[in-house]
Amino acid sequence: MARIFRSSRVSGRLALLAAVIGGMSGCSTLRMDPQHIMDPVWPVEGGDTFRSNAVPDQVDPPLQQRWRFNAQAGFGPVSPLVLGDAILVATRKGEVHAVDLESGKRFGRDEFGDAIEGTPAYADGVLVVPVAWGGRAVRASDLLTGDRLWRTGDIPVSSGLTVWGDFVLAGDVEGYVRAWRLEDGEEAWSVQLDERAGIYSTPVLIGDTLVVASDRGRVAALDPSDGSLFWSADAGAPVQVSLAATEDMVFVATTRGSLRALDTRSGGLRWAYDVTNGEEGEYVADQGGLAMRRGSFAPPQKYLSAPAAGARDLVFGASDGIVRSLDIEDGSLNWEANASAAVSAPPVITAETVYVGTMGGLLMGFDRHDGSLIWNTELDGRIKSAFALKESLLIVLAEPRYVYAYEPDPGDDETEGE
Amino acid sequence: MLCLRLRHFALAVLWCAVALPATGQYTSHFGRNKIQYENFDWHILKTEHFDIYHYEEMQELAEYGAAFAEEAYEELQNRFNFSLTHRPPLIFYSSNLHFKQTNITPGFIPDGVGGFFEFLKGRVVIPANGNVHQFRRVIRHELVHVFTYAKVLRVIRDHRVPPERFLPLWFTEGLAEYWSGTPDASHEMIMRDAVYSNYLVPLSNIYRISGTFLMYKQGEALCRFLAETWGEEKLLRLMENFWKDRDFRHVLEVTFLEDFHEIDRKWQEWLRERYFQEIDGLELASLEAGGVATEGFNAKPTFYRFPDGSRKVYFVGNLTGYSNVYQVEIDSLFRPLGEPEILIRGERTDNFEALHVFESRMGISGDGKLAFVTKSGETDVIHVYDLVANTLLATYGFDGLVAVHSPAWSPDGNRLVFSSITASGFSDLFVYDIAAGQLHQLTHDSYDDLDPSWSPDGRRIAFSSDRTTTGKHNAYNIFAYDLDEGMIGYVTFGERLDHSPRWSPDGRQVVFTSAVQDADGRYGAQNIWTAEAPPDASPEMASFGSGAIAFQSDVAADRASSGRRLRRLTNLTTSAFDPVWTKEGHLLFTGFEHMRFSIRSLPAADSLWAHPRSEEIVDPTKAEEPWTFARIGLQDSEESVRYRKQFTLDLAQTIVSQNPVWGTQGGAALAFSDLMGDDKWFLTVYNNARGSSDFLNSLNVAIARQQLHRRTNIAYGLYRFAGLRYDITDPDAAREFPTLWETIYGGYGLISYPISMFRRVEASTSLSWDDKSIPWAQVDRQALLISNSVSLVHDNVLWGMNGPIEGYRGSVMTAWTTDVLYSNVSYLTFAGDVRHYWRLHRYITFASRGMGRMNTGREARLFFMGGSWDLRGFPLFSVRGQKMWFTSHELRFPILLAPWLSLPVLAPLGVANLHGAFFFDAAHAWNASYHEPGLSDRLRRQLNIGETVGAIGGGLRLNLFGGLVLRYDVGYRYRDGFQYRERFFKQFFFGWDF
Repeated sequence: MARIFRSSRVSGRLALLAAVIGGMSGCSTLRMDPQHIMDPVWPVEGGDTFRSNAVPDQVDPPLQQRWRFNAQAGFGPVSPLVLGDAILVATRKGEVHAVDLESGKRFGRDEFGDAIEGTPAYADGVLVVPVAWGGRAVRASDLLTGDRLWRTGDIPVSSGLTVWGDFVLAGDVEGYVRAWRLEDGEEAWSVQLDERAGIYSTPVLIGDTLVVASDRGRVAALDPSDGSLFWSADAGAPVQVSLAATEDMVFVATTRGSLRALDTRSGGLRWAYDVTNGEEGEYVADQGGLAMRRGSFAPPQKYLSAPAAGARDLVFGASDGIVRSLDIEDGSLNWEANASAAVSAPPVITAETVYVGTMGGLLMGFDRHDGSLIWNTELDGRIKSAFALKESLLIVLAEPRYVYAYEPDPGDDETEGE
Repeated sequence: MLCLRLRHFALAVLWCAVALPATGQYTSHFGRNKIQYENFDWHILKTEHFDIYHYEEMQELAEYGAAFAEEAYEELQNRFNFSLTHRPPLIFYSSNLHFKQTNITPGFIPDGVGGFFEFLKGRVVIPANGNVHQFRRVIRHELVHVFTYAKVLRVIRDHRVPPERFLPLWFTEGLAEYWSGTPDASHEMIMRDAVYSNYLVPLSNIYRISGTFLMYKQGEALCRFLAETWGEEKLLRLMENFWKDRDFRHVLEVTFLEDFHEIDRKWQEWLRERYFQEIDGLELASLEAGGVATEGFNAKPTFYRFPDGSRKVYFVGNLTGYSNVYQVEIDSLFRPLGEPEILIRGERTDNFEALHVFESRMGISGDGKLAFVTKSGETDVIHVYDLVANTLLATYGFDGLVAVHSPAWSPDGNRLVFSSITASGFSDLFVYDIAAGQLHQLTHDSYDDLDPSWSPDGRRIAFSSDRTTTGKHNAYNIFAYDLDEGMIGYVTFGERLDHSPRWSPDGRQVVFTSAVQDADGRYGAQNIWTAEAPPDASPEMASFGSGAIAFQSDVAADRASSGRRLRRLTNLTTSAFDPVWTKEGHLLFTGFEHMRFSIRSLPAADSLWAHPRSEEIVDPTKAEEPWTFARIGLQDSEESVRYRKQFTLDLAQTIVSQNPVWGTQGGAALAFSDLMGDDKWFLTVYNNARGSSDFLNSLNVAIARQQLHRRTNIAYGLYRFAGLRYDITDPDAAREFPTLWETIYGGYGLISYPISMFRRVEASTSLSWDDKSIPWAQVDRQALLISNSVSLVHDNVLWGMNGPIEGYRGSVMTAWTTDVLYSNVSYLTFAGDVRHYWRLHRYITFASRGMGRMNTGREARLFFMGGSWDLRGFPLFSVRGQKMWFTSHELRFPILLAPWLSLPVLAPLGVANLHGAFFFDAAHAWNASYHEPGLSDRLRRQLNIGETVGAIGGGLRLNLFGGLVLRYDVGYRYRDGFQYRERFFKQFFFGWDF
């Protein structure tokens, strides 16, 4: 099959022109102090390579806004990174902003070409950024010097990156899982999961096992050293959101309302939870509504968000606006809560509170034990990106282009209580 | 592109603001009238996610619509994995006739438009048509647009790409259709026909049918194919990848990881596999049934045998652009004896303003009275036309009935039964007793009752309705209303689409059309069926008007349990409509084939009935409780309030221009309107100062208001204009470069009263202080000007792609302008302009135009002429005079009608057609006397006055993209009353034919 992911020649020329203009006007750089590099707080999407989106810290509502930063463009499902007192935020305009955690002021910026959909990876002072369009899809920069180190990859990458040892690992939109050497960007190996299937889900790394899923529903565990297959499983539906894991299980949320827990070692199904919507092939509306006719008009499927995996519970949202907490061991339902709008971003679990961002622009805090709504506040736009946390400071990305920092409010007079 | 257009608009606004108040060049503009007959009292029903705008008469329907909208929101939130962060306004009208009056879009809304979503204020505008299911489906369709627009706009903004691009129409409309519900019968009909008749347009060429009904259906099939092949997730991914390339073909490739042409090929293969497997045993209407009228679009046939034995078929058709009632004489075998002739000319007069070609059947009484429906003013009316005497007998309109459909005569010819949509938005049955002048309502509920037909014995009325138990699944069955008992009973039953019943001549059968779903839920072809007419004491004849079916007794139920036999008489490839079983044993019907609706006849109806293609036994005793929809009533809504105007910004534009003559000019234009588009404010400010000290003196400002919610439209405004002006109409200004200094401020008012869709009266008045200075001519005069005008405009022309092709338009106007303070200015204006378009052939038009204008009095302004739009061969504005006449005659003919078919290579260039024209133009302008003997030859030639000038030649009209017409004319121009051929000229310009 011919490569079809090149930008057009016109776009290439425009990029060249932009590069020339950029060169004349002075390119911005992303350079950080060594203390930031030494203290990676939230260095990958989800906080760790399990993508757990869970911290043991107390982050009790109500929260108050400490600052808001304008990133000049929107965000994908990408999670910010927190390195020391710096936040790195990637945008759909292709920029990465370095923002001071205390003040919310930007102290660095770098441009990486086209939109950044997946979360960059950080390791050993090197920031590796996936680019969702055009050639040279993976780009590395030295965070200490601001130097561009290497560019590689032919196929766009829309999922987050993972660092394993000396390798940077990613799945691309053509369905290949690839490994590049962190040192120079040389491709070490590549494996195609499925033909004509893209990878939009950020893989998890469980020890020396990389688990990745495609948008045809194939879940595969690979040896990150050479890409050899440990096991493979079928999620039963496309997977487009990041996986989550514990030592024992990998959690796979699909676009059709199914959440599956697979055994880390064998890929066997440990349990499954389905968010169904009536009988197969038939839409059942609320009381008084009409059932849609059977036939090729499928019922509306429910897109699940990436889950957050705590020690005892697994929390996820869905396009139906319901947040669900399951027992992580057997998949039984702990509680459900209505978020009043679609939830596509993974929740984040803190010691006592689950925070959820909605497509309705609400930042909500639910009691982790019973799902009761404790607190909420309305932001300027939809929240569709993953959170990041540093201790009790919650970093939120929201439309139209803002980065927010929220912290517990010692008083409650400036927040909306429930 | 959008920005560019806005800029041009702003320029136009600025220019008009300068030119209009001062020119005195009164002219009327043509065009039909969009009339606001109703003064709707809008209320807002606030639900969780929407503001529902409705008027009180349609409260119940609005409550249904509110529930449908919330139901759709819940579903679409899941389908899009997206939520709306604003409250879209949904504006409901209870009928298409009310919908046509909306000011939310300035254009005319034709029949068949189910609703629209506009981008400016994100408004969704939807009319009901009596069918609650359809209302629900259209709400879903438009809300898919709302979600699509919001999502794609978000993608564009997130990626900071220029907002001038958008998804192709086939995708947005196809997705809206696809996510509105299962494919309906019309979808299956069109796609089946496109595949069988081989006019399916490949994806690579789908732009050729952009905006057509076929594009909607093909788009739906494409989205369905993409979703069924790759999953619905990929439709969302397609939107999310939209930013990646301007070329949507490339976006498709990126999303589906397939070559574009391979996607196209697979889609066509998928369609063919879907439909060709059904083709065995199907019959083409064009082979099985004789053609009665096969050119153009024809529907709703009916038949009459005259006392002298002659036979005629009557139908509603559109052969040339206007819809008319046609008649065609036929022989005993129902073969046409000639071409169809127009009986009633529609769409040209107030009485027959519009014919509903595909919505309303016609009825003929035993003594030859044809009953048919047209729109006339604010409602539909029923006309009765005596076919024997060839005269219109009467026209009936009914208070409270908005849309009227399908009148049918009682056997004695004294009563008419018809269906009607009232202001409530529901379709019910009515009987009008002509002699008594009394109207009776037979049904009164939310079910859709259609196409009534009186039984030969006069005791029952068959009709189609969704009041069936299976109506919950959008089924229609045939029912009979017993006039003696006042009860309704089933004639057919089941999950079928049974429509258009007519009785057999002996009254023992009911013939109708029906489409039935297969096991997969897909509708098959719509064929002609018959059902046994229910016996008098039928147990199913036992409901009580409202549609709630109830059985009288267990015994009666047992008697009915044997079921009723339905016979399918045809096995067509696509669809039949509106069957009529004539006394002569023929079945007349409308057949759809090859994207064309034709009137056809099948002989030997008795034989077809005796040997049906298939039979089915249905059992009406299985009928259960009638269905109903959920509603969100006032008690369930968050709030219900009366609509109050709130103005929001429509346009904000600033501009700065630099010109060596006029210097630097800067300005801004703002436009505001309310949600209904009824009330509009325009503010224009600009400054043409040449220095800071001149700033206030050179401030130009105009504010105007338009109010369109009443039948009489009014506009008024205030203005102040000052500075150096270029005015070719000023009699005191220089001939070659007519500039002058002028300060003028004042106010004006204008009213426009539409007499009908085709005629209106306009009147305007203005009062202004005018200070004019022309230093070189030592002119320095002040005046307090009052100017009044009144005009009458008529326009019923039919437009082709390049301009009017048939009809008549004309205007007369008189005005008086005077200086009430100093008498420096005082002149009268008279103007008339008449244009007639004769259709010599379907594609050939002869157009004639005559125009006269006169300004007479002190400081009477000049009229001007010249250029490609009027007097060809002479440059723009080159003929100037206070009085002038002009005539133009043009023969317009096609050279290349549909190049995308014959020369596909031209399609990407946007070539829509190429026409030719031969023309003759003549004009004469003068001031003091007709031949201006006092002027020098040089001045006469400079102003082209005092002599008859003209041009004879030919030209080409190239239509690009269906909207831009490029004109190239060549010819000779003449002087001295065509005695002197001055020179050959070539002229290139753009614009429609006059």
